[in-house]
Amino acid sequence: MDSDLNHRIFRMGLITIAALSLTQCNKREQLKQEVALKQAQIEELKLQQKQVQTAIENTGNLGRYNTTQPKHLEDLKGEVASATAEVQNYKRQKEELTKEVDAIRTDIEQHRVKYR
Amino acid sequence: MDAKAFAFILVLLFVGAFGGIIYETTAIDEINRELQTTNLSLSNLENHIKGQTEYLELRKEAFALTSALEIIRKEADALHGEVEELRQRKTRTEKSLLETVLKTREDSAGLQLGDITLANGTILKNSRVNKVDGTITSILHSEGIVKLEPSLLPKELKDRFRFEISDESSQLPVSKKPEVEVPSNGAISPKQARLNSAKLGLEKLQMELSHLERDRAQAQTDSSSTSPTRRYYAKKREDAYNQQANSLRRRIDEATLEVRKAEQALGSR
Repeated sequence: MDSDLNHRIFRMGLITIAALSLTQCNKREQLKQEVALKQAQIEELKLQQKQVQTAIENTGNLGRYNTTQPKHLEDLKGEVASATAEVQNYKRQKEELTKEVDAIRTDIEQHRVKYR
Repeated sequence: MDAKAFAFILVLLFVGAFGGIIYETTAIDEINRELQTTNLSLSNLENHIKGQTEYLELRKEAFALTSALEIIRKEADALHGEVEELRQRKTRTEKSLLETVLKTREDSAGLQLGDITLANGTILKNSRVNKVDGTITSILHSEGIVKLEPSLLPKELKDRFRFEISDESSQLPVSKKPEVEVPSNGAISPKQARLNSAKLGLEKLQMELSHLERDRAQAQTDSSSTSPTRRYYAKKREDAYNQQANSLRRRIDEATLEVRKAEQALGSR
């Protein structure tokens, strides 16, 4: 009778230990897999970081805007607008001067034909 | 005896199991810590890449704008050259017109005019041009000689002699500094214009230096960051700022010298 009880207790103990070991091992494996996945993601991101860094270097030296700040873009846009206005101004001057020179030449020709 | 042996084995098993559970729990904790560290690194890396991507976009736009600016400035330079060339051509053409008119005036001595009516209604009969001296036209007519101001001449003679064209009117102003607006009344002398331009240049450089100093201060703040990557880039940025600041300071010295020279030139006038 005693022997039977002991066997039962022994079996229950073994089953409990086996169940605990199985769940713990399973949890540890899951965590290991998760860590490995995250590390793979890190490696991938490092590669991406290198690509972005290379792309940054490929933009070359931007002179005084080399350490680009958002306000630099505003400055640059202002400069582009100013330079565009300057170009328009020169174009207008060029057109006016061309007309003036042509008018003077015509005047000279007419004067010569008329009075000499 | 049998029961004692079972109890002993059972106790041994439980001790072993307890040890095993502690070992497993410790291992799981370690893995959890590793997972947390990995998560943190991943998050930092993602943030860093996000920042770098934004910076890349900024640089791309800045690159596009600087390229556009360079092209526009080249076009502006080319157009400025063409405008200058046209101004010179206009001056030459005006000189040519003046020479033509002067030759016409010179050759008109003895020109028969017949009966002419002056602007004031006087009729000069059998007239001819005696000579043209400056803006005065001497005309011989049946009753003697008369010297006439341009305003009194008939329309045909006014058109022939073109007194509105003179040596002074052929001298055209030539713009040398497109950045400095010269008033049309010509109140600013070339020396004053040079001084203004030099001062403007100096102000621009000083403003640029102040912006740079501000950016450098920002970089210095970033360099005290806890992130090694951020510290590295901040240090690089700071070095670049230092180089640019040194170059700017040299240019400011040159510009200051230029302003002083312009002031001395203006003072010695």
